[in-house]
Amino acid sequence: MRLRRRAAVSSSAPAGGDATRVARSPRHAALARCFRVRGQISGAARAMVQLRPRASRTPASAMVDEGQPASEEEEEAEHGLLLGQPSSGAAAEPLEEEDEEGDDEFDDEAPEELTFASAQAEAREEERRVRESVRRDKTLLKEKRKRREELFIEQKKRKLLPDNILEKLTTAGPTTIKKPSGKLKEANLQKKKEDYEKGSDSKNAKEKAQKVQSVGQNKSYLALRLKDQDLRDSRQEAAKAFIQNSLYGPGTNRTTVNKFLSLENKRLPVKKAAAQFLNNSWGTQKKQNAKRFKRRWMVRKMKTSKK
Amino acid sequence: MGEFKVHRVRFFNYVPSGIRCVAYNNQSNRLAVSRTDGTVEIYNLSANYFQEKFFPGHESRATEALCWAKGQRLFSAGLNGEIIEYDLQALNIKYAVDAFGGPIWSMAVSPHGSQLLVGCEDGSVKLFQITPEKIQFERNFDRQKSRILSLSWHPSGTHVAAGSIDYISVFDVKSGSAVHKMLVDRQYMGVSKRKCIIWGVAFLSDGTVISVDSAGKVQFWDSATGTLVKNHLIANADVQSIAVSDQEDSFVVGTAEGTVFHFQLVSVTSNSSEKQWVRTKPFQHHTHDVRAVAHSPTALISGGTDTHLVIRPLMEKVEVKNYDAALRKITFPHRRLISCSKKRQLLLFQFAHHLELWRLGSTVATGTVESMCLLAVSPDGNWLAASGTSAGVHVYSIKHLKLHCTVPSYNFPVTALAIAPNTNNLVIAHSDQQVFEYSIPDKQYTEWSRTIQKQGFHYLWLQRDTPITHISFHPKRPMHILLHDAYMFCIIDKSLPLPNDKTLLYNPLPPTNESDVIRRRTAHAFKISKIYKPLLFMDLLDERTLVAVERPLDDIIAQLPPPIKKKKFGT
Repeated sequence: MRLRRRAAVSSSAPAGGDATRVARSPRHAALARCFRVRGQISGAARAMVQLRPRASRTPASAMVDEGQPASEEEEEAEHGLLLGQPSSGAAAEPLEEEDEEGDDEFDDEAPEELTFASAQAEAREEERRVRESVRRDKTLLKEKRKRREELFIEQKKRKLLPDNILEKLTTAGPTTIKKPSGKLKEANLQKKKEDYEKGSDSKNAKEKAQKVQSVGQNKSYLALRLKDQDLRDSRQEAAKAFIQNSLYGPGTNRTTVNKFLSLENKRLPVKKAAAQFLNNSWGTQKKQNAKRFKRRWMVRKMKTSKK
Repeated sequence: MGEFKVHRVRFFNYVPSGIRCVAYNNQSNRLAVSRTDGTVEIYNLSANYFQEKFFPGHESRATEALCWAKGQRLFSAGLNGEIIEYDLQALNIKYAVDAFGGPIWSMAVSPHGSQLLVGCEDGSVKLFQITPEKIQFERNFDRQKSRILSLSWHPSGTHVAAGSIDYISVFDVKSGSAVHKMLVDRQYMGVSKRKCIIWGVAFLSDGTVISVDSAGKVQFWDSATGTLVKNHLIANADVQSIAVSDQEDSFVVGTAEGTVFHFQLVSVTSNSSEKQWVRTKPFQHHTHDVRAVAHSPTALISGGTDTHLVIRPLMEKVEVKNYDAALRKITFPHRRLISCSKKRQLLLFQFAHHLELWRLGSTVATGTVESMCLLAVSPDGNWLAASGTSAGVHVYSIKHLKLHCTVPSYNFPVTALAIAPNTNNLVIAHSDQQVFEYSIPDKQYTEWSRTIQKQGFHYLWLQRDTPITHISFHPKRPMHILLHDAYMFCIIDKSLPLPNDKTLLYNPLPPTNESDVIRRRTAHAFKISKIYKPLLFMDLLDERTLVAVERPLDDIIAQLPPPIKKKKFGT
């Protein structure tokens, strides 16, 4: 009987280890081979290899036998496997024990029998437990998210100026509110600086800040904060770097214009040279040194010849 | 005609900048093209593909997205984080609105034309309302993890697809929340180290989202379920742009290798109603990345880093199969960038940011900073002719400083103007290759002009695809008009008979081979020479000397950014 190739249980590759090959032998067809994935399901997984007692824990993916699993324990183990059994699963213990025993009583005895009902009950227990834990995790996450949302809303409310002050600003005259507008602007800008990262609410804040500006001063000049400009420039630089990297950076398959234009020349029946054959920038340092040396040598020569 | 000494000038280092975005407006049949240095050009596709408007650019205004909104309004957005509206009448920028999301990568106008959606660097998608004077921020959609590089509205305006890095999100417009998030496989030649950048998305009315990415794939997604329907691997390099036709039965994509692919919706078998998308035609008209494509009802338009604008009419959509259905490649500018001072033998070159003044015969350059427009002054200084965006050429009298007369308007824009030295005739060339001569003192068209209009120009003359950019005159021979476009220059001799369609237009007859009689019979007014090309400028310096400024294409290509490597057998 042939064994089917093993298929991975989880999509991400296990952290350590590699799949081993199980020695095939028709004699042990009846014994199912179950493996557990290491890493994700870091359990006391022990390959039930019957041929050679392997002390090392070699993880492999689960394997489904072509025939029926010989005994219920395999079925249960498979079940546990499919459910992503955590490390200290109930089924882990008995498997280990049986393994040790199985090593001794090699192929003379049939494995121990478990009633179907008990195995099924255990499997169901496992499932329920897993579902519970997942549900708990979900609710926890939800709570966390809700709290964060509330925190953000509160922060936003704090940041925006109270409406009555803004009303006063817009209705009052320019001279009287010059000083307080300046202070308010500072406060506003400060708050703006604090949570600059939050995109959605900074827009409102800036609009209000701008309104304050135009009301407070004459419209002949506009004050700009240099810190904003720096941030804007750095973002722009980052964007330009991104596009340069994605189009012309490492990993892209780019060639020089010279090579591109010379492709035609290479395939002609009479091969011609490249479009830009000479490399004028070759050995510039050497050429410079040579020039300098020559100059000095000439000067020396003139001196000695004069003497 | 006589013999001339020719100064051939090839040192004008004119390198156009690559095309970054292309936007087609269906109502007015106009194409807006933005380049990497920030210039925006408007081409009138029905006026023989003439570039009628030009907004000079600035490095800080480099655009990443361009679109038309309702009412012929043009918007662009760039990496400086601002949304700019252009005033097409006054030819300047109306205003710029900062979107406060960092550099803007993409922009899309809603199908009704009243809302504008902008995708930013910080992953936010912002909705703006287009008001008659300005645009107004409405709200933000859910913020995503990485930058939003492409946007597309569903034709009904209810959903929006946004392409980012490694995933595509589908948003619901009313609530602003992300409905689906589709992960895109990074696979690129078996290696999945580089992030997969979704360069373009398109939303069809049946809910299919088409995405093109940097791994060379065109993928079809179902937005209702958020799953991949079909995957086409079409190139070894990035696929950088996509444009869908209005009927949604065909779309075009452009790749970084310079190939443009046409996809069409065809039925599976000849009778069945079931249709599927099939890649039908590849076009290789570019050498570098094709970063922008557009789909008009009858043609595919593509532009990229190699600075050519290629308009390929689709054969099955074109009604009349005449010369119009051939490929158009617009490479050289439609305006005159060079002017010549005849007495001092000086040439003035206009670059994007500076001017260069060269003296012919020597090689020293000086520079200033200025700007130019389409004007012509008569040599004796009395008249000034100006043509603007409004129809008709106005002639002003400089002595009295008032409008003298207006040439009747013509429905094709003017490409070149000049006033003859002694007769004060205004010669006007239009984008459909018509040439008019208008006498300023008499305020009417000249006799010669009327005769040639009656007879019509030679058909080969009318089929030239580059506009006439300069007209000049011979000081001693008032019957001669010298004009040129990118591929030929021509001297029109008004004293000789006009050619009709049967005579050869381009006839470089050697002067002594034929007998006198035959020569007299076949000689006609249009003497055309194609020796110097591609010509950027040609003018008469004095009686015996011409100056011709050429710009070989190879020189331009040598200064472009690197293209994708192509492996050819045997190299």
